[in-house]
Amino acid sequence: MLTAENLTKRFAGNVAVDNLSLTVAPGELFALLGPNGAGKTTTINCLLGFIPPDSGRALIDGLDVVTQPFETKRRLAYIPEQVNLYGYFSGVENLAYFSELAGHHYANAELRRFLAESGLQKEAHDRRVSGYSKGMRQKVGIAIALAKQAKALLLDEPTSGLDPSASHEFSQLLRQLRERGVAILMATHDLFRAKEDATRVGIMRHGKLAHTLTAAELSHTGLEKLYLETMRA
Amino acid sequence: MGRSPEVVAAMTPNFFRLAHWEWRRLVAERTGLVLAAVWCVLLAFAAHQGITQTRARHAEIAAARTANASSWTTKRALLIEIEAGRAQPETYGDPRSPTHSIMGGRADNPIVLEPAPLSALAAGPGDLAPSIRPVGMITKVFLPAQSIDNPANRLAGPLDFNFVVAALLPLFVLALGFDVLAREREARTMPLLASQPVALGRIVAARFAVHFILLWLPLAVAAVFTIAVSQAPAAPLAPALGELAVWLALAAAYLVFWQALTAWANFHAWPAATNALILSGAWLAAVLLIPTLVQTLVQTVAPPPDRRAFVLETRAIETDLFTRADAIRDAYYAENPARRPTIALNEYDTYFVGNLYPRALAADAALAPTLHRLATARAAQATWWHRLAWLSPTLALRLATEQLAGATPAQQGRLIDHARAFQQLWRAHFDLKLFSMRPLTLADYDGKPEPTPVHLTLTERAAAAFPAIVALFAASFLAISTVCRRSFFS
Repeated sequence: MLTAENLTKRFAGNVAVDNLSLTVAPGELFALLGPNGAGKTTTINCLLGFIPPDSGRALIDGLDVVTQPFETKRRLAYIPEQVNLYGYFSGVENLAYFSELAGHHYANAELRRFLAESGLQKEAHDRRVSGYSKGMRQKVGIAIALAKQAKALLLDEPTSGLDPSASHEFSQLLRQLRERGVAILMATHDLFRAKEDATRVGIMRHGKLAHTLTAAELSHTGLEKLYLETMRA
Repeated sequence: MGRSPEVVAAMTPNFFRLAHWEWRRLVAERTGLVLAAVWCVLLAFAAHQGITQTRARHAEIAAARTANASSWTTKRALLIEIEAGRAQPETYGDPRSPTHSIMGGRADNPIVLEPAPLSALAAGPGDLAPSIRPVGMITKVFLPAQSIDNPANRLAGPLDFNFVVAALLPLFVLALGFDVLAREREARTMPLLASQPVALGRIVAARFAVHFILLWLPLAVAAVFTIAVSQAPAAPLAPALGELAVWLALAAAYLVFWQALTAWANFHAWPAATNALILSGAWLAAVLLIPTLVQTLVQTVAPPPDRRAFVLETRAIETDLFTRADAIRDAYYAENPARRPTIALNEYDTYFVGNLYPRALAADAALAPTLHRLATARAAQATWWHRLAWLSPTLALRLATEQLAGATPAQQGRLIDHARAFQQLWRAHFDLKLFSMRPLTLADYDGKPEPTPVHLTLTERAAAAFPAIVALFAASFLAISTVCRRSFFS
C-alpha cells in the first residue's frame, strides 16, 4: 500500500533520504525510528507529495505521488505531530470541512459517530477547537482519517507531548485502524510505543534504513540497545 | 500547461461547497462580516451622494427650462395684448423693447448638458461642472459657473461610486484576502490542508469567489438602485441599466485584478504581515502615487490652462474695451450704418445698446485666441491622461467611469461649445433689432432660436472610455494569467 522505491532527497547538497526502499502492507504499522535529521519526516513528506524526490519513487496503492497527486491523497490520511485545526470551528465543523475537501459529504450524525469512534467526548463535539487540548485535536485528526476512509495513514511523531493515558488511547485507535486493514507508517522517537504498536520497526540513520525488524523479533530492551548501537556506529 | 484528467476531476466536484465553507469561516470569525458592513455603509453614502446630486441637477434643469419658457410666454402674451390695444406697456417691461426683452437675465436661455444615464456614479465634489449655461446677448459663456465656489459642495467630497470603487474597494479586497493562504501556514493548518485531494489553487479560488460576492453584490445592488432612482422622470430605464451592466463588468474586472494581486502575494509563501505590507504598497502606488505622477507628467508635457493668467487677460481686455467703448460703438455703426438707432435712446438703452453689447462682441473677438488655446490645452491633457491610463488600473477605472458618466472636463467643455454656438444664433436673430432699437414683433418672438440640450450619446461616451476600458481589462487579464501560472492549478 505504501511504497518507497530507492527514494533519494537532497537539501542544498545534503542527503536527507538516501536510496530508501520500504513497503507497508495493508494492516501493517511500520514504525520509523531515528534521531532528528535522520530523514523520517522527509520520507513522509515525499510520500505525501509535499516535496518531490530527487530520484526514486513514492507510491500509494501503486500510484506515483508525483504524477497522480490527487488520487494518492484521496487514499491516504496524515496526522502531523501537532494536529492544527481551525480554531473558530467546532470539532464537528472541522471534521465536516476536511471531509468535504476529501470529497465526502456526511450527515451530522455520521460526523459525530466518527468523532465518538476516535474517542472525543460528546460534550466537546460542538465546542470551538481553539479550546481543545493536543490529545483532543489528535482525536479529531484520527476522525478525519476515519471519515476519509483512508487506506494508508502517515503519522509524524503523533504521540509527542501526549500524556501516557492519551498516548495509550491513541495507540488503541491505531490498533483499530490497523485491524481494519489500514497501512500505517509512523515516524516516532517513542521506542516503547514502537515496540507496543508496530508490526515492523525501521531504524533510520543518515537517510538510510539501518535496520528493519519485526516487533516480535525484539524485546523493549533489545530495541533500545539496537537503537543506541546504531546511533553510535 | 495542460492539466491531467485526474486534476480536473479532483477540482470540479466541490467548488461551491468550498465557497460555502469560506462563508461559514467569515461568519464564525466575524471580521469579514464587519468589513462587509462597512463596505455597505460606504456604498449607501455613495448612493445618497449620487442620487442627491443627480436629482438636484434634473430639478435645476427643469426649473430653468420652466422659468425661461414662462418668461417668453408671458412677454409674448403681453405683446399681443399691447398690439391689440388691450394693455399698456410698463416702464421697464415693454415686450417690444429689445433692451427690455432680450438683454435682461430673465431672457437668458438655459443651455443644458443632460446628465448621462450613469452620471450618478461620478457625482464628484458637488457641482464643479454645472449642467446649465444661461446664454443671452451679452452672457460670458466661457467663465466658470459661480457654484464652483460653493463651500458646501466642496465639503461633500468625492465620495461617489467612482471614488469608493476605484480607491476604497481594493482596501476591502486586501483586508479580506491578504492572508488567505498565509494564515494556513501561520496557524499550521497547511499540512492537513495540503494532504487533501484538492488543489490549493481551487481552495483559494473558492475563497476569493466568496469575497467577490461579498463586495460586488452590494455594489451592484447599490448602483442599480442609484441609477434607477436618479434617472430623469421621462427617461427610459432599460438603456441606463444596460450601460450600468457594462460599468459593473468594469468594476468586476477591477475587483478581480486586486484579488489576483492578493492571490499572487499569498502564493509566494510570505508571512501575512509581509503580504499586508506589499499589498498596501501596491495600493498606494496604484491609487495615489501613479495618478499623482501621471498628473505631474501631464502638466509637464501638456501644461494646463493657467486660470489666473486667463482671468487677468480677460480683465485687461475688458478694461481696455471699457475705456474705448464709445470708439467701438462708433466703429460698429460706421461699418453697419443700417443698424444705427433711428430713435432717441434713453440712458438705460444707451448703456445696453451703445456700450454693453458692442463691448461684449469686441470682448468675444479679442478672447477668441485665448479660448482656442484653452480648448487645445484641455484636449492635449485629455489625450495624455488616456495614454497614461495603462500605468494604473485605478486610473483606468476612474477615467472610464468619468467618460461613461459624461463627467470629464472635455465632455463638460461640450456645454460651453454648444452655448457659444447658440449665442451666435441668438445674436444673429436679435442683433439688428437691438442695435437699431426697432420694436420687436410677434414674428421675432415666434422665430427666435430655441435652446437645444447637449446630449452625450452612448457611442460618444463609449468611444471616449474605450482606451481606459481596454487598459483595465488588459490589466485584469494579465494579473489573472500571472497568478494562474503561479498557483497550484498547474
